[in-house]
Amino acid sequence: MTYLFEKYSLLFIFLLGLLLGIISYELLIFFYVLISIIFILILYTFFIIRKYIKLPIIFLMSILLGFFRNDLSKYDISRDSFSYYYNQEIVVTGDIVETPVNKQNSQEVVVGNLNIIKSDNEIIPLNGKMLLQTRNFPEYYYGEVLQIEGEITEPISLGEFDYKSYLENQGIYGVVRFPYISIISENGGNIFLRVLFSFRLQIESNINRFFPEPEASLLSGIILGVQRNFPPYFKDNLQKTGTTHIVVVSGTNITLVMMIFIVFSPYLGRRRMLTFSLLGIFIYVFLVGFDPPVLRALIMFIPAYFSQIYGRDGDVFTNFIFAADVILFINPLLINNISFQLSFSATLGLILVFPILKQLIRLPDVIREGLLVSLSAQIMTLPIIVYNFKEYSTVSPLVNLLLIPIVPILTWGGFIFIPLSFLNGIITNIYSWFLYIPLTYFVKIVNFFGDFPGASISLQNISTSFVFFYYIALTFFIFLGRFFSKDSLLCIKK
Amino acid sequence: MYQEIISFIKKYQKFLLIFIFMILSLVILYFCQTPDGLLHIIFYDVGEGDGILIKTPTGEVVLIDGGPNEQIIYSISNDLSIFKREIDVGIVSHPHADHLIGFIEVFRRFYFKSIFINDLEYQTSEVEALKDELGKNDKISKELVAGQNIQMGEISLRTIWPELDTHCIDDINECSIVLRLDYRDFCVYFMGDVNNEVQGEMRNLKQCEIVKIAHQGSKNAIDESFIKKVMPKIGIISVGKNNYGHPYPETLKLLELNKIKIFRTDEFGDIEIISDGKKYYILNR
Repeated sequence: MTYLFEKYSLLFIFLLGLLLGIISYELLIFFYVLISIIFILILYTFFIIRKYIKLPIIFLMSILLGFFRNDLSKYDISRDSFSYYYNQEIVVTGDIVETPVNKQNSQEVVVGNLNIIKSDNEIIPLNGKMLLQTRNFPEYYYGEVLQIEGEITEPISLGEFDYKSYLENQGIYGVVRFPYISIISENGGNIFLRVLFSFRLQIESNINRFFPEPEASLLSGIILGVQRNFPPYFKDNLQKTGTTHIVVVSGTNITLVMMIFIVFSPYLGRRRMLTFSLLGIFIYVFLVGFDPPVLRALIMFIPAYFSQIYGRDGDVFTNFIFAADVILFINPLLINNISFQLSFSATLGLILVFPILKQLIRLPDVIREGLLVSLSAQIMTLPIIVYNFKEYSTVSPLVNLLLIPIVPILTWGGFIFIPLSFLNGIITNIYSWFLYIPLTYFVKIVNFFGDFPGASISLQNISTSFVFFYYIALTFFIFLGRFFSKDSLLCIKK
Repeated sequence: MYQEIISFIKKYQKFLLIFIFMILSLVILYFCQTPDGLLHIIFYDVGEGDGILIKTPTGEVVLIDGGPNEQIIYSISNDLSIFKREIDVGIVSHPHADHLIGFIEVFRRFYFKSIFINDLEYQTSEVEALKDELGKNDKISKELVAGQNIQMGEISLRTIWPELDTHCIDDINECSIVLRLDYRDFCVYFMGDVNNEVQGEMRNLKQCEIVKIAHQGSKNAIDESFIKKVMPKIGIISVGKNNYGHPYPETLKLLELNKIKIFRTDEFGDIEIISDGKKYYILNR
């Protein structure tokens, strides 16, 4: 047991310190969530800290590192330089840095690389990004360079949702509503991303040509992580049934991409297979974008890759902590990102809670694995979901049980559809009919359970102390579970 | 040989079962969506704008306008299944955004056999986008003038407006395409966005029980002389949340005075009319 902890300790202590440092910078509500997760982790390393004197030093140093890293990213001069121009009419040039999003009656375009052009033709560069709201047409694309004339305003939060810091976390400090826009050139941005994004748009439009809604947006969601096209009604039902995590690109997709290469491993050999799958995953990640769940899966894969290449035993938990270290060091602001919190806590649930549930609960073999996996992820993520979305899905375990088995079929089926969709013949049509059956099964299940009265309970007043005590209780549960189980290492070292 | 088949089946039992199940469900799905021999006209609740789908008794599909946003994509999926990815006739009554934006989105997703639109020289970014799409697909749109007839089996779509010599420089609404659908004894007027003055000038009108009221029931949406000639009993208003005050109270009063029953998409949702050529039913969904 101690041997295992020794392996974790360094990365682990580093993570703890980093987290503490980031948090102590600004005491947010998520403080409680993270502190309690850390608390769980501390129990694991408890013995180590006593044993080694070097670890406390690393711990202290990483606190400082986290503090300063957060300081650097927070104290961004961009905000200051932007605030100087608020409520002024400006002329500015910039590149479109993300694929624009279509809203009900407008289009949202994010531009970066800003240069303000003064009336005397003096050009002043402006740090940070800017959000443009324009009409649905003309449509804009990634990489276009725009000249924008309009009044720049400060982002304001409407209602409960803190829109301002949501934008600021993405580096967006200004909003321009319905400006006058002209396209200067189409060669801005990164050429590699430009090709990839237009390829992604092409795949999306191919999917749209062959499938009705909401099946088309479901397929785009599952294989490309595109979320903007869901019909509002279907999106509600996804939330009510607790299945939103399936239609975003997550670690599951990365695993499924990897499994394609495993099929070819007898022909390629193990090493080559691993290298090819690393390449394949990289390309896939570029295609779907760097969302926290995808980054997590990717970074967890890299140490696993090397341990496989060098024939060492890898383990999931170390990789997990490694991923957390890397991601938080690159962008400490992600700590406030719900998607980041959900992805990491769900993975933690699989690593820590699943083995315990597996020993506690006896179920028929057919549903056992599936149900327990989704249950353990849910146990870990529950407070975060309830706290942020103020809603708890009662049908979630059942719906997940019904849907998760067909996710691989949809993902692989969707991958095969991508090259076929460019052929445009009768084969593609017939193939799309077959793929339509699992898709429509998914839609029907989600809509059936989503329309159920009481499918989701609204929970308005969840306090931070609930979150705090929930995680404390969970920590004891996990601790007890490990203490009493015969197999003390459980499945961590599988 | 026989033995080999048996062992093959046993080996791939699961896959064969899944395959048979899929084929069966496809067959069932296919027969669920075959034309039922009735005429269906669906006025979609697309918000502030028009979006109308016609399914003929023999299975042809006509789309008139597409609404101001992407809502029509979601609604249209209830009526056109995975097996029907083409639309026989697409008509844009006039190129205003509240009729065109949704239409462009439908055009990207479905194969259109023919397209009718007037006034493509109208300068807006929506028209530019439609022209781009037409160019990409090597499609040529045709114009419609009064007297032209689109025939599909027993259904005919007759153009009532604009006349050959109609010019509208100030307001493109006045050049809106107005259509009448005839199916045996049953007929419907689709008024586009034309105002009351234009309605007074229309010729060759005949009595019809159903009229799609022009321009979301705006101030000048209906003309009394038109009502006298057509004598409608049912008026359908395709309207959503708006700041223009649509439908206009005076217009509603005028319709009421003439004993015209009003169905509004913002109150009823999607409105579907089903007809066999004599009788008709109105459903909301």
